[in-house]
Amino acid sequence: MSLNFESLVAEYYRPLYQFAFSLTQVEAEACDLTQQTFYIWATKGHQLRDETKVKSWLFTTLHREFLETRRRQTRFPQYELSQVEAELPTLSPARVNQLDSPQVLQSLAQVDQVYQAPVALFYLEDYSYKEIAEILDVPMGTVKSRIARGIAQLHKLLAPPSPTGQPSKDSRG
Amino acid sequence: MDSTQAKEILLLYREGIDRPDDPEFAEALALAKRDPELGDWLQQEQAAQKVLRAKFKEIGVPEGLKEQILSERRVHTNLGFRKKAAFAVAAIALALLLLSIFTTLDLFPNREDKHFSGFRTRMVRTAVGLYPKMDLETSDLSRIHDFLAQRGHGDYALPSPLARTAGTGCKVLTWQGHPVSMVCLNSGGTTPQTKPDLFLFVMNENFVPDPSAANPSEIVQVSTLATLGWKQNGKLYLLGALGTSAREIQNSVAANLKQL
Repeated sequence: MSLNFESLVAEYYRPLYQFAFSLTQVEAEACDLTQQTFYIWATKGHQLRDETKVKSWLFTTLHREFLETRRRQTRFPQYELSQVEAELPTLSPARVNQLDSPQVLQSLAQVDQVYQAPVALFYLEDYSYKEIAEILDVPMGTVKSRIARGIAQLHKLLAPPSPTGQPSKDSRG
Repeated sequence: MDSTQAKEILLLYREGIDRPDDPEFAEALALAKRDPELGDWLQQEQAAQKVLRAKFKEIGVPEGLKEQILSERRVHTNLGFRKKAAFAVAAIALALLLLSIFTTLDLFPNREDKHFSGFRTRMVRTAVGLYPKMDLETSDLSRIHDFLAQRGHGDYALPSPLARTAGTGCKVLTWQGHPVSMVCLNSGGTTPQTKPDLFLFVMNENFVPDPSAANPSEIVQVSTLATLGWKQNGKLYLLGALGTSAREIQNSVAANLKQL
């Protein structure tokens, strides 16, 4: 593999960190995950034969490392989804514009953990669902349902509180 | 497909990323064009998703992260190099040590001369250089004979000049995988009496390809020992003598052998 380590870092450290931060919400953890990913690349990257897969390899590795650290901390349930709730909350662009990036990520952190990585990849990268499925090592149908479910939860969390104190179902502004 | 099902599908549709002609999206998008309410929802949803995507991409990267990754890489590389270098140095040192030990002890059996001369050289080194601990230490030659006989090595004959000396001990050695009896004697000219100055080695003559090289009319100096070899009744003998007194006895042995 003729890829230069420095150019690889220059190209991918930012999106990898953003993905890591969207998963951990903690800067130090995100830095560690990003560094660990490149360290693994430095030691095992030569095993990758297809250079076009470098980016997805890095994201896959980072996600695995994240899962590994979480597995050590606590085992979270892996359950499958049925379908997205019938009534999807609608989120207005104006409402989203009121929020800053940390607030969005704080809301993502409240989404069920199993949905967080698919949703983060959905927003951060222009991957196809097939590629996201490969990165997360789950079937494509599962990825789609997790993203849909995760977006629905995120929308609910981002929607402005209703007068009763609960997030509104329709926050169209 | 109804409006709710279309929303579920269109929630995953990313304009500019996903193909609108994908069969899964195409039908829902077509319905959104026909259904004003669904179309309005889709427009709002796409706009909100676009802003959300931008919010995600606003995640700031800590300053110096890139440099830290690169420096970590260098540290790991250096550590790796240092570990490899340390390992290489240790391996070389170990190899030299082993080579030294094997050379000193002459433990390269396959490379050793398998002829009589090789046997002679090795036995001299054993007697002079190593002088291993004896299996039995005694001055009684009968006890030495019995001890070796019990181990299947008693079929040797001491020439009469040697039979009149005192023993110091015996040991069973191996050479090229073959057993060799080592009988140590004191000529009487050295003190203490427990210190040997005559070393007799006996093994089957067929353990060397050239047993006739053990010529009793020839005394060969090897290191500090004068050596005399002969063969008798299928056995190969090698007698090493250290010092004048021992050499006198050795000469007597050689003289006796000539008469045979």
